[in-house]
This record gives sequence, structure tokens and C-alpha cells, in this order.
Amino acid sequence: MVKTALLALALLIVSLLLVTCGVFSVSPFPANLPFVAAFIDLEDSLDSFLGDRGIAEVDYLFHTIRDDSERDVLFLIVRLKDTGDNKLLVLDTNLELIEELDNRALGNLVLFNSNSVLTPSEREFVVGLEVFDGDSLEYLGNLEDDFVVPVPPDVAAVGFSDNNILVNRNYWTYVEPGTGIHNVDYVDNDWVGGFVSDPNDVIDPRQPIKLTCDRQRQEVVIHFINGNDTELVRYAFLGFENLGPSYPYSSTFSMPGGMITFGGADNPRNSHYTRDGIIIANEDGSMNRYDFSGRKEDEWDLGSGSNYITSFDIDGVFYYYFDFNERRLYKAHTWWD
Amino acid sequence: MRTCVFVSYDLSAGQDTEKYKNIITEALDVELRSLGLSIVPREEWRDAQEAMELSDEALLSGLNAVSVARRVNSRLAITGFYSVDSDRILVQIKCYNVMQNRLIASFFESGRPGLSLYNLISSAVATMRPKVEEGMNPLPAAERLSDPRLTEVELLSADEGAEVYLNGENLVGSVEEGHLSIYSIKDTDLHIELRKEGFHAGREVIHLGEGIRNEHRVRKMVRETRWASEILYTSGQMLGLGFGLRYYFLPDELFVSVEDYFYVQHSFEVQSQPILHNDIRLLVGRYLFLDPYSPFRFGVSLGLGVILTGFSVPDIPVFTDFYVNVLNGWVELNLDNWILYLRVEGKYGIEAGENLLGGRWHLVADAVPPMTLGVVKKW
Repeated sequence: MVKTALLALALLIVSLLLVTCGVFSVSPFPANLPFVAAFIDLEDSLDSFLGDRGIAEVDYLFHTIRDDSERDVLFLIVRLKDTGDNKLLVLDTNLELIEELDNRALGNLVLFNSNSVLTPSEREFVVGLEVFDGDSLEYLGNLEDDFVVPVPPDVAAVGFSDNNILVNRNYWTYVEPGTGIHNVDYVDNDWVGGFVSDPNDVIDPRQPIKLTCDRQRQEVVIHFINGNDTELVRYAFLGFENLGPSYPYSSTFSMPGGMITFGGADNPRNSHYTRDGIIIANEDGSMNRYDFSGRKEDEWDLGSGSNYITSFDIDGVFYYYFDFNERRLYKAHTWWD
Repeated sequence: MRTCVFVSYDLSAGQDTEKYKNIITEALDVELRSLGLSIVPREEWRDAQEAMELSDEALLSGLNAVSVARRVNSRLAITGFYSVDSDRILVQIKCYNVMQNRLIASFFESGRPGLSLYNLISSAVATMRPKVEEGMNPLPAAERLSDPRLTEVELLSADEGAEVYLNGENLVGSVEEGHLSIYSIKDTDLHIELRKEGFHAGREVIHLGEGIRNEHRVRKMVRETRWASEILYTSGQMLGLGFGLRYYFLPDELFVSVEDYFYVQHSFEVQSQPILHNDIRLLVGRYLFLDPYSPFRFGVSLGLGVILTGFSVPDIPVFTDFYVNVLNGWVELNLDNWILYLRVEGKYGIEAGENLLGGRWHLVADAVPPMTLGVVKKW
């Protein structure tokens, strides 16, 4: 009897050790679920467009853009690699689907408050060549008939509009195909363009992919891809409208090379500037957060078994992630305090 | 000692011979009571006879007579027949030891019907008496005392009324007042088996020593379990608890169980909300290798389940993750009325409906299968 009792005690202790140690306390469900604040299933919107195409046959672009009234708007662009067809979904931060557009010449250009492109004195969003009302987000029309857009539609060109902070311009950046020249360009209210950087000089192994505007800090951040690493360059608003030959070496803070790689390097736009740090997200859902000296702060994992594209608000309060496999979009609180 | 006296069967060809049945039976009752035996009331064994669907004629078979007597806890079974032919009556009476399932005495005589029939019965009982007394013991008393090869085996048991068999075949008695004495050869292995309704047969091998007396406490018999309830605690589901109910198709061997596990997923960060999961499953389980007397047992189970997931945030639907329990394996500590087990669970998600885990193995920390610690109370 004593022997039996001892055996029972031993088994109990071993069992408790097993079930209470750290590894065993992690739920089989994704760790981010408790942080989810909203959800939308986009199967109805995407199934017929995507057909039976696999993940490798589709490109996704996902941006959270903040306008000058501190409102965030989500743009999810889905592009079929085989046909080049595009679909755009525009959502608000409650994940209400506001607009859907199919098969338009969307390109990669994403601007906001684009300083009255089609309707003078009204704010507008521009995605590719398509224009949306700045308030209602409803589709207004296409730029092509009225303006010559000075950016090739297939290059990455996520920009911002200063909307009277500087001189009412819409800015974007890209590498000119064929020449490798870096451009930071703008158009003004009349959709007349110009160069912020010196168009003839800047050829650099780093490729600019996006501009982030932090109105609170009055800074503009340029995101670069450098091989498998990412680098960010900060500029003050003041003087940004005419970087000239100082581009792109001013105030550079660089993420440590080798530490940061993108998931498969097939979607280098998955670098995100927030006021709480830089987040490098991989398609498998793993994410690292760095401070502005390049030191790693923490990491997070959305869970295995799917592929994701993410987007963060500039405050670092919420982020949004789209699950490729399930075609679901989530809004979640960021994991750090 | 309880004794069943079955009514003597009438094999007479003529009529008006039925009256001898009661005469013989009542005379037997009187004579046997004078030996100190307790006669089982007729109504009592009639019920057992009807339950076994045996005719009066069938009770002429010793096997049937013993079976009916055993059902009414009788130690002796007495059966027989008579036949009346003109002025002669032929009477046969047989006496069986129910525990040992053997004939211990018989009487076969003829006489004249009428009052001399009582003398005939009295003579029969007197003739059988020594053999009846002797036959109630496993071995003759004289042999026991004189044979130096024998040892008295005192079996002590808490299972009152359990029948004790040798080599799984020969009934040698039943446990009364906590013990049973039998005789066997010294320095041998005694294979005993205890049987009792509602309990698993208990088998033991006892090695008998050289002494004239061996005492052995028989292992307590294990009750057959039909129902059991359980409490579960599973890795990866720490903020929760599960409950289960088992029904055993084969006692302590094959069961079906329903389990429900409710747990909360929470990071306890300010910006997080609790997620509620409820895991319901239906399993079929089977024990392997070891019998219910083993302190450790192993088993496997399989089944189906669904995990319902609810968010505390409005407008997010309830997700359903259906899964197949492809194979669970467990090891358990088997106590009298309790079981403590540790189970490894192989759960594979089914890609159906609004699910969160998809079609893949359910793993804790993306590495190890869930493990459940369970406590089972047998009813």
C-alpha cells in the first residue's frame, strides 16, 4: 500500500511538472488571439477574384495610411501575378469594408490627402491611378484622363501628402527601372511634378520603397531595402521639400545587417515605422521590434500554419494582419506596453 | 447448512401416484432437518428454476440441480425420482455438494407403498448421512489428519461469499466470515481463482510451505466498473478544467467517454482580452495488455471533437475547430476506486467551417502534443 502511494505521488509530481513548465503552458491557438480587437472574413470579396490560385501566385500590398485628421485608412491591394489584374479593398479601422475595386490600373502608388487632384479644395486618396473621396472613401474616378502620372505603375511608391505642412505637395519615392536612379518626387495641387532629390546623382545599392510621415514628430522616414536588410533614414519636415544632394545620407539610422531578413525577401514592404520602434515582419507571422538605434526590443509570432501580411498604425497601438490562407483580416492591439 | 430438496420426480406409468411425491418430499424434509440442515423453501428455488427455464424432469440431472441450488446459495442439492408399480415403489435419492459440483451420496431402494414408505425414506437418510457429512469437506477428515503430505491452507479474504476455484475449474468452497480452509499438498503452487458476481475474477498463485498450516491473505477482488467520472487538466489549456463521463461496454476494458474542457486563453496584458475555448469530444477507449488487477495500466483511445472559441470582443463570430482524435495513449495508476492517468493526445484539425487552427496537428508551443492529467472516480 505504501509502495502504491509512493508511486502515485511520483506520477503526480512528474505530471504536474510536465503540465506546468513553460512550454506546456502555451496554447495550441495563436498567441495573438487575446489581442484581437476586430475581425473580418474577406472570403466573399476575394474568393471569386483569386479562384484557386495559391499563395505563390498572388502579390499582396497592405498599407495603413494616416491622414491629416489623424484618421487611419487601410488599403489592401491584391494582384494576380499571371494576369496582372488587381483588386483593391478599402477599409476603416473597425474593418468595415468601404470600397472594392476590381481590375483597375492600381499600380503601387498609394497617397492620401492628395491635395485636390480631381476636385479642387477636397482631400482625396490616390491608389495607383484611382482617386477616392478623402472623407467618405468612395471611388471618384481615374487620374489617367486628366494627368500624366510621373511614376511607373509597377514600382513601389508609397508616399504621403504634406497637406499644407510644407507646400501642399504629394511625395513618393522609387527607383527608376533600368537606370537605378533614386527618385523622391512630388506633384503639387495641379498635379505638376518635380524632384525633391537630385535626379541625376543618386545611385545607391539601397532601394527606397516607401515614405512614412510622422506629423507628430514632424519627420519623414524613408524605408530602404539593402540586400536582405532594411534601413531607414529620418528627415525633418523642414527642408524635406528640397533634399537635393544630401539625399539619402542625412540622419541615417541603419538596422543591423544580418539580423534582419524578410520572409523569403518576396515582400520587402513588410517594414513598419511606429513611434514605438521599427517592426520587421515576416510572412510566416514572426515579427521583431527594434528601437531607433537598431537594438532588438522584442519579438512576436502570429502563429504557424499560415502566411501573413501586416500593417501598423503610426502610434504603435494597433496593427492589422491579413491571413493569406484563410483570407481573413484582423485588427489587434500591439503586444508591447 | 442450506439444503435444496427438489420434489421427487414421478416416473410411474400408472395413475394416482402423484400423492407419493409430497409424501417422499415431506419425509425427506423432516429427516434432513433432524440432521441439522436448513431446508430452502420450495417457493425460493422454484423461482430460480423458472428463471433458468428448467423442468422438474430436468432437475434429475445433477448439473441442473446444482445450478439451481447455487442460485439460492444452497450448499447441498438433493434430487431423485420414484416409480410405483402395482404394490412396489422404487425410490432413488441423490445428494450433491454444490460448491464442489459433485455427487457425494446416493440411495436406491424399493419397498411397499404406504406407511412403510416413511421407513424407507428414514433408512435412505440414515444410509447417506455419513457420506453427506464427509462429502462436505474437500478431503476426508481421516486423510487430512493422517497424510503428512497435506497442509491446511487458510485463505483470508474480504470478499464475503466469493467462490474459490482451484485451477480455474474445481470449486472448493466459498469465503464465509472472512476465510476459507482447504487442504492441499505441501511445497506446491496452488492456483486459486475467486469468483463473485459484479467483480472481476481474481487469480493468484500461492506457494505452499512445508508447515502443516499455511495462511494467505487473498488479494481484494476488483469490482467491475460500468460508469466513471473524471476531472481533466491539459497542457496548453492551463486556465481551465475538464470533466468527463465514461461508460464501460466491457467493464474496465472498453469504454466510451464524453469529455468537456473549458479554458481561457489570456495574456494578462492590459491591451488583451480573454478568449474562451470549450473543447467537447467523444472518445472510445480500450485498455491494452494488463488486467484490472494491475496497479499500472495502458490504453489507447480515439474519437472526434470540436473546440468552440469565443471572443469577448463584439462582432467576432464563434469559431469552430473540428478535429479527429487520431490516437491518444495513456498510462495510469490504477487504485481501488480511483485512477490517475497521464494521456498524450494526437489531435488533427479538420479544415471545416470558421476555424482557427486549420487542417494540422494540434500542438502545444508548435512542438509537442497536448498532455492531459486525469483523475477518474469509478462508480
